[in-house]
Amino acid sequence: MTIAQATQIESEHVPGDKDVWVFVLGEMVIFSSYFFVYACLNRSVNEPVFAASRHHLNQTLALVNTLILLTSSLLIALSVQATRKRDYRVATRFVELGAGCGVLFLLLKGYEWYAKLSQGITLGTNAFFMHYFVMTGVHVLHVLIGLVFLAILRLELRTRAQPRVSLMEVGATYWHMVDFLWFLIFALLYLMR
Amino acid sequence: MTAYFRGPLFYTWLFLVSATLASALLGLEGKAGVALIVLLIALVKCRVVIRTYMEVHAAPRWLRRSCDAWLLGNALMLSSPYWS
Repeated sequence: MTIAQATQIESEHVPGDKDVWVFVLGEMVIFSSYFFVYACLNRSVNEPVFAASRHHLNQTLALVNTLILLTSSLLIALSVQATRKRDYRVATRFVELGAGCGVLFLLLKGYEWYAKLSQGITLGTNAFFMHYFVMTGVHVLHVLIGLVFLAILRLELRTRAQPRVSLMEVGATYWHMVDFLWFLIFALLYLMR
Repeated sequence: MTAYFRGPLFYTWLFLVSATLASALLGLEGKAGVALIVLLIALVKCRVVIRTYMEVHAAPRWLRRSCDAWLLGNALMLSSPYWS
């Protein structure tokens, strides 16, 4: 091994810790498997049903929700940056705003589900809506877990004299995963024929 | 606080917003042919978040490769139903 290679390896850094990445990579694989099953069904004999059902979805609301999650990811990434600069007051504010975006996402998702249920569209309506409710429901569960992580980060920033950067990275890693998994759900469920 | 919005993280956000709006405009047209472009944009956005916000660009090789393998796997699996 050359000195340059050794220096590079030394400067490499696992954001958060290895354990959270094993968990996150596992989640990513599980979601991918489900996405694959859905993509196959979308292009199979079910295609006309899926295409007709998709017209009942509110793409604009889903777009707004995507922008909200994107913004929350930016805010959480900035909170990690502020923590590294020992700017803890600003880091706390970023975490609070990021979590606020998460709550807003949930409220809009709740409204979207309520609108569907009011129209008599449920999990049992057809195969498309079964996947719509299950996929978005599982994602909502992950948003809720992400909000618990963000609450822990806020507690860390407010109660510790020296908040741990590694803990901030762990929470941020999970939150960003929730964000980018939504990108694929948005594309698959709402946009792709 | 506003000083934080002048860095690369904010420019990444601008790119992600632009890509999201572009894919939404394409997707709303509802043409089957654009589905693969929409998928590609979604995967590019995922990679940008993983590399930039999750800081995988500075991570060890095993983590960088694992994330890229996941993205490649998704590209192949999710586009395969459109091949025929």
